[in-house]
Amino acid sequence: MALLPTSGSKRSRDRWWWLAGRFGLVALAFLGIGLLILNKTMPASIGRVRGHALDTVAPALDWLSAPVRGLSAIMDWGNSYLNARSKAQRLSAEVARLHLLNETNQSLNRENIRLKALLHVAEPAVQIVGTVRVVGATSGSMLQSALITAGYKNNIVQGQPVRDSDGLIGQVIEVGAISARVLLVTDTNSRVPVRIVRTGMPAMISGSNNGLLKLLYVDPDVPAVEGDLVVTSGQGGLFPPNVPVAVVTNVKTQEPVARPAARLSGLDYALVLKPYVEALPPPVPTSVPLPKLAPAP
Amino acid sequence: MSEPWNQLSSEEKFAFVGRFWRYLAPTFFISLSLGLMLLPVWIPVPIMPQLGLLGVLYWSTYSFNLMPPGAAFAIGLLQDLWLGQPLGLNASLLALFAWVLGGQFNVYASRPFHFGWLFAVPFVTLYELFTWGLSHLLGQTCDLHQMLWQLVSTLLAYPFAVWFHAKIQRVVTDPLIYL
Repeated sequence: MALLPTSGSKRSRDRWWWLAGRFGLVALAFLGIGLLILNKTMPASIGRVRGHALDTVAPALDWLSAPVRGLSAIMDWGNSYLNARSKAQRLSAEVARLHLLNETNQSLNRENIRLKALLHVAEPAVQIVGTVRVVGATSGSMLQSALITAGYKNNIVQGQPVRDSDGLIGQVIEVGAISARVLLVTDTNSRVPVRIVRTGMPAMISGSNNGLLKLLYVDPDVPAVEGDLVVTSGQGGLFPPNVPVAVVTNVKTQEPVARPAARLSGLDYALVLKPYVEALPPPVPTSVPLPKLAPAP
Repeated sequence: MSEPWNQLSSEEKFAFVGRFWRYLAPTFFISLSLGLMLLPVWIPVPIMPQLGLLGVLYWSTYSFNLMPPGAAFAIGLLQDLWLGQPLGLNASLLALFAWVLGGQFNVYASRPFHFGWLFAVPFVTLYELFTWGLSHLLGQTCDLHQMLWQLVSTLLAYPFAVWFHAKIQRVVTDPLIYL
């Protein structure tokens, strides 16, 4: 074979390097294809690997994101200062309106509690796993996600809903030991079962990767209108009901467009919740042995 | 190394270590720049450029011996893991691009900067299209508009990336470092 080396010459050593390079390329190609296939066939294992990879970068990001958080706080402060007067006027009007609404709501709430007690309605309580710091986002990726500084050591598990004081942020999709990734509601891969508060009609909300949300499967007979508040419906048992998700901003499009209720542009802390309904345990095997069927003749 | 380590002078030891450092520097700095893509810059569109691709693009074309496909693969793998993209997606694409670009040195050599920028347009476009298509195939849907935003931001960031990596290249390839 012409490419095989003869002893000690530099030329033959170069040939060996050339061969090794070509072999390396083929190996890389197989490795790449193999990894892409593993994404489809073993998503859980790949998720675990990703979770551990996040652990390597999360502590550094916590430190690196401090200037960004500081800058964001300064901009918020500046914005609040500049808009203080108009904001105060708007809030005064809002307070007067809410006072009236509050009286009605309190009476309805009392009535609701009484009726539920009479009907023996069983409602699981919303349980908080913990408050976590948001240290990273993936603005450089096609996936809209955030990184939080808590992992399985802090009882974070895949699927847990995440919210802030204003509304739903998303759900945990990858978990490491000390960090986790949250899929934001604005990502196209996100789906949340919701309810329009004004009409009570169920729908589904999906992200559109541009910071806004799309309201899907809205009953055409009871359409949404601009300003409608959309909250989680609790269907599916993952997201607790009545968590604000979005406010409808445009109904002229085929699917109504909504703005997220949570302030996703300035996330600093978030609340991780347990799934509203815990998964049912597998059925306990009965201690009474089942009668054996007679063998077929 | 023919001489035992303890018989080398400090300059010779530095030069010896420097030879290895030289090969690791591009991969290290590109990996570091990937960290920027994770900072909490809350913008609705993915305005953050593909810093990994820009780094690989630079080193594969101007100093391809320091950016073998294996190194590009490692950078891509890190990007996949950190950014939550399908594992192997950026790794395969970056390795492929490093290999293809590594063979184009004669096209780049002694050309003005604008030529390089123009030359980057089809590569970045192809890269974004491949990423978009493969993501869809692997079940991670993404919007075409989003891909276009990132394409534009990556091309606009090209001069800054070239400036940054050229600074590193000057240090890395400085013969004075090796004495």
